[in-house]
Amino acid sequence: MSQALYRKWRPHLWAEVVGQEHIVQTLRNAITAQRVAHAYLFAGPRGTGKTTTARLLAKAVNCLADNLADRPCDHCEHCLAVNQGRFLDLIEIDAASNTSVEDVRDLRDKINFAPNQGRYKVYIVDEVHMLSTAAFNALLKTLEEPPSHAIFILATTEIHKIPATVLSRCQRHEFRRIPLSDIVAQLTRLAQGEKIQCEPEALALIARYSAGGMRDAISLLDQLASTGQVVTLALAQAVLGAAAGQSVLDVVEAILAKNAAVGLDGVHRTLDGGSDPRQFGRQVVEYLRQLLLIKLGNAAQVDATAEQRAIMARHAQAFSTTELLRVIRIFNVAASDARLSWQPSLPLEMALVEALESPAAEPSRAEPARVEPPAIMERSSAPEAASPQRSPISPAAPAASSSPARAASPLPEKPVNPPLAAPPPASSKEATLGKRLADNWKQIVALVKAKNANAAALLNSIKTRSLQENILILGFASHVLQSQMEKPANIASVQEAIQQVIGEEVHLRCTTVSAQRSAPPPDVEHDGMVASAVRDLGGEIVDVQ
Amino acid sequence: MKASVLQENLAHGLSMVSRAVSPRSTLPVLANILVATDEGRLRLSATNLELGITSWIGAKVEDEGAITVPARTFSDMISTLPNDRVNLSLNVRTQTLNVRCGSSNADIKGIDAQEFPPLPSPDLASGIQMNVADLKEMIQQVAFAASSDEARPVLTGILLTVQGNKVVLSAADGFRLSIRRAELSSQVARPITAIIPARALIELARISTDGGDQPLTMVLPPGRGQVIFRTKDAELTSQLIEGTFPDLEQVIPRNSRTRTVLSTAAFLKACKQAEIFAREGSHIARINIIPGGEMQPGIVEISGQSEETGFNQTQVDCTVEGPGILIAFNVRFLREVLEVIKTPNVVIETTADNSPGVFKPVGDDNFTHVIMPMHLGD
Amino acid sequence: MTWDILGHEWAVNLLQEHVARDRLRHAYLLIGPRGVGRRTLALRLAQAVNCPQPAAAGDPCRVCRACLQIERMQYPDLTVVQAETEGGVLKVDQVRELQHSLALAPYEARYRVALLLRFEEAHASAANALLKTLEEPPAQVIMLLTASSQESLLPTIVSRCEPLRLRPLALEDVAQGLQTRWQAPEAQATLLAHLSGGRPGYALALYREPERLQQRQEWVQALFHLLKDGRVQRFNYIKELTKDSNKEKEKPRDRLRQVVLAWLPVWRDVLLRAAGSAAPLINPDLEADVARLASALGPQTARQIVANLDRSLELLDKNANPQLVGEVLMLDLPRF
Repeated sequence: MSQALYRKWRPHLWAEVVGQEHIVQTLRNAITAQRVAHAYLFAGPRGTGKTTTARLLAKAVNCLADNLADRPCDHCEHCLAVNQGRFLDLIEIDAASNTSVEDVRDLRDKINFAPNQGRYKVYIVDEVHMLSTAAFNALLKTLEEPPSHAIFILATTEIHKIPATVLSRCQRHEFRRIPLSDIVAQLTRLAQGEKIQCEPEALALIARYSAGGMRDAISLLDQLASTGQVVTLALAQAVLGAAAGQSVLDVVEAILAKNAAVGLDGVHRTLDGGSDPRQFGRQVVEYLRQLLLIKLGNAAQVDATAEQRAIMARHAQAFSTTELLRVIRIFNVAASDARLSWQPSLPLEMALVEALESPAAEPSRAEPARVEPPAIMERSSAPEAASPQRSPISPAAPAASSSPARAASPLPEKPVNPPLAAPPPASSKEATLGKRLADNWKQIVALVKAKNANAAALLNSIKTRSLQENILILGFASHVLQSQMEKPANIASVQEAIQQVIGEEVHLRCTTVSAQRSAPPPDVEHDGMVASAVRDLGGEIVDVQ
Repeated sequence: MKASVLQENLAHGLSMVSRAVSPRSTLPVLANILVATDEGRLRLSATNLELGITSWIGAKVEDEGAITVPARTFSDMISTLPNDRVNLSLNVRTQTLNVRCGSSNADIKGIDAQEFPPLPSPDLASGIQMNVADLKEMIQQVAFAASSDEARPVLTGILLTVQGNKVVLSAADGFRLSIRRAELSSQVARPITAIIPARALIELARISTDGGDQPLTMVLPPGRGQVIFRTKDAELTSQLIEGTFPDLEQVIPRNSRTRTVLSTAAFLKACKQAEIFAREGSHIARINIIPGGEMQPGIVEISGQSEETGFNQTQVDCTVEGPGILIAFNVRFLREVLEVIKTPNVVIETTADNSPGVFKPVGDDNFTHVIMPMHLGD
Repeated sequence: MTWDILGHEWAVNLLQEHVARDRLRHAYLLIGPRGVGRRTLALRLAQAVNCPQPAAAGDPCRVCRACLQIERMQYPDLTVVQAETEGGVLKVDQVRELQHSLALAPYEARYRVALLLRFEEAHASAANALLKTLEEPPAQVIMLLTASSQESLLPTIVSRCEPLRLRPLALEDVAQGLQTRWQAPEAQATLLAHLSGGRPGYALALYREPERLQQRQEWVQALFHLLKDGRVQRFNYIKELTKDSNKEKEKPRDRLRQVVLAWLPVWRDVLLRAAGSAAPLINPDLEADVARLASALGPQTARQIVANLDRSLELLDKNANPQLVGEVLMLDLPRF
């Protein structure tokens, strides 16, 4: 088995660390001045050298070299032991598997033991953001007054998850994404060392793909080299699933021409040619982003030939800025959609069709997957639905013939659903019934209580109350409560009381709603439906089981 | 297969191998025990792919054969039988083992023996000869110092090194280490280094209760990643742990400033008392070594305390070479090492309150134990 | 070549090369849709590295005990880790258990192979817990992960593996394969190839279990009926579908998921046709119905229905109440 290149080329000396000069300099100074801190926090994107630097620091503080400036020397007993993972005083903890308070307490007890052979016991805690809040709290005291022989190095990719109290107790180093040129230079060095033949353009493409992460970059080169061929730009494009620029242009042209069929053919042709769907989505987004830059007068930032610029200028001209933003958003979702994997082309197909939809008919939202159909249509009960000026599936939404108000807006250009979190307009009948129920709820409960105290108690325990046509849906916190309420006698008592108070016959349905989620108080939801909450608000109704 | 055995022997064999049965594995056959005829004896084997145990019992074999049967069913069933002859016969077609004893008759559904993971067939001639009692003592002096933290798998094992006629077991958990040396009666051809899971060696010590001076052969087939311990009628196999073991010799301080000798039993008793108080808190025992004067013995003060329970201190006479010292150790660690020191007196070698303490039996150079001191705070 | 895998020649070649030239990586990530052949490829690699009597380096014999046991995922040196059920959660304890066994020398083979299936189902703590092992596994360990997409995994997982993206095969190749390898009649092979969207594993499963095909037929017909039905009938259908009292072990949630998965491809076909695309349909047998719906509903509605169905799958994964999810779907379904 050949060792992965990123492991083989892991820096063993300060000088080999790439792209983090500011951090390396600070740490080297601390070593020379013998002013090493007791708690460090290394934050930054993946593959930028956090664990590597932490190990170098652990080596440096325990290195046996006489000259402080030479530490780590990489050839004394201690340095070698660290390299081979057998140094007893370097403890690497993966916070992900040790998230609990007990784990941290255990650590706190063990930290008091003197080091075995080194000057310092160094704890590297990786993925520290995985610790629970309680665990972080337990760690605080140790970070505040660690024994003099202990050094903590916490590493994380998600610094926003680290409590401020922990941050303030650590010397913090932000690892930055490694600049493109540094990555290319390192890849070139590595390719020479490994005798990998490659084209400079291929290395540049790899560097761009790795988004400032050295491990990603080296892994990609490793992967390309493992084909046994010369690493050419073409090979890099093929393996990375990068579509040729023309496919992107074809799809953009189709969007501008409002020709869905051509656009879909373009998508299918590209994917059949071996491109990765999400990657292709990202390329479309990237291209559109460049158009946006041009539109906003930042053409200088776009890296392209004169010929390409001409096409881009034409495309930029053809889109309005709002339209461009809308299409970017749509394809961005397709590029990042982790679902629908049973049919890989589907997210792109949907994005394309959506991009061609009349923008005004659809309020743009961050997640088109959740955008609702204009409304429910039941043509038989909605005579207006046949209006000739509308598409055959015009948005009309009478939920039932008895609620014509739900037939919604006759103007398809107007968003049918109010944007964002507002519930959909319920039928006026529903709304009035709902309001009357809400207004008289106390009275209803009181009436129930007079005849059936048990049912009243159950009513007082509901988490949500909503109305769907003339069905009143009661949400309970547990199945037990739900099934008690569902006893015919209880249902009858409630129905009877409602009939008496507001003079309407209402059906009852009981359901169980999430116990964890703090449901809005029953009074708030007088005109909503549980179902529409699920549908429109992204709410979740979760089985307690 | 057709064979008969004594119920008592069968039950004993089953209880021994049952320890290696793995009831919840993704490989269903690991919940079974292999029952096979083997050169006039009956072989019972179980493995969880980490640890394998085999027991051979005397049998009258009429027909050769092999089958695996569910461990629970088979053991529970056998344990209820009278101490009488048990007749086993295999129906190959249905893979069912018929068990008859006295008036009982049972058919146990099995899984084809072919499904059982292949068992090693060690070349015993290439093995290392030891005796059971000696190996057991070595294990007891070392195994407790192995780590239980899976994050560093190497330290959950015991390092075995053999060179010339010297054999060494060592273990460390990052806070203490134990090294036990012994001499072999003969030279080995090639040096051996292997990391054996501590669990396997503890199991070995457990199952070799009887036998005292019984000979035992240890085999490490080259390139197989296994160690096999074989006695006359039992065998234990363990997978080795991959990795590099820390160089423990480096951790042992080469010289010391203070050398204290005291009674093992008195020291152990004092530690046990201190533990009663310390176990609720930091688990720390303070060891205050005070050199004596002319004609007057030195004193070791052992104390434990916690906020809830209070304070305890015991004084033990000792002889001290070098300056006095106050040093703190984890009290359980102290107790555990004192419990395995067999000589009447023990020597503690210390240098400073933040450097390792060395514990050795007086008059026995084969055992060395090192404990890292605790930081006493302010 | 004896890997006997339908399609993915480049991936097979690459892996064979790695075995033959001793350039094996410590971790591979096989990405692709379900049924495309991820697990089969992984098992073949496990055989290739551990077959004691390969025809040539990288060519497992596929008849010895080791090869057969690996094929059945019942081999001592192959540890399979996956969520208990599809759509379930792979737990951190499973990762810890794996780590324990990986520290040990292989039982009988050259390599200990860890096969982590559907790793997108791993709990965040399980994925994080695997990072260290995935970065620096013990020497004789090969980690094989399968996942539906790169985006569904932590980026830190992906960057530690060598990823192989398995794409659906050309439909003709699947149809051809079904005929020559499993003697499927031509017409059926073609239908199954389309239904599978180029995923041979899925096509084969449908071929071997005709009742699944039958079931799909019923669900699709039910869909066409529901389009005509009013709300009461629709809600009744969902109620029936998500009833808990079902004797089979199948849970309402899973049943609804199956139904949604049968409906999704139909609407995707409607979407294609409504948008004017002539691309091959997933359901060629429903060509006429699809065309009818497409011309009546238009692309926008089709897309919204697809989005709704997808959303309902997501809700089901998040443990939403199945009956409610079904009812929401019904509310959003046009009447036609």
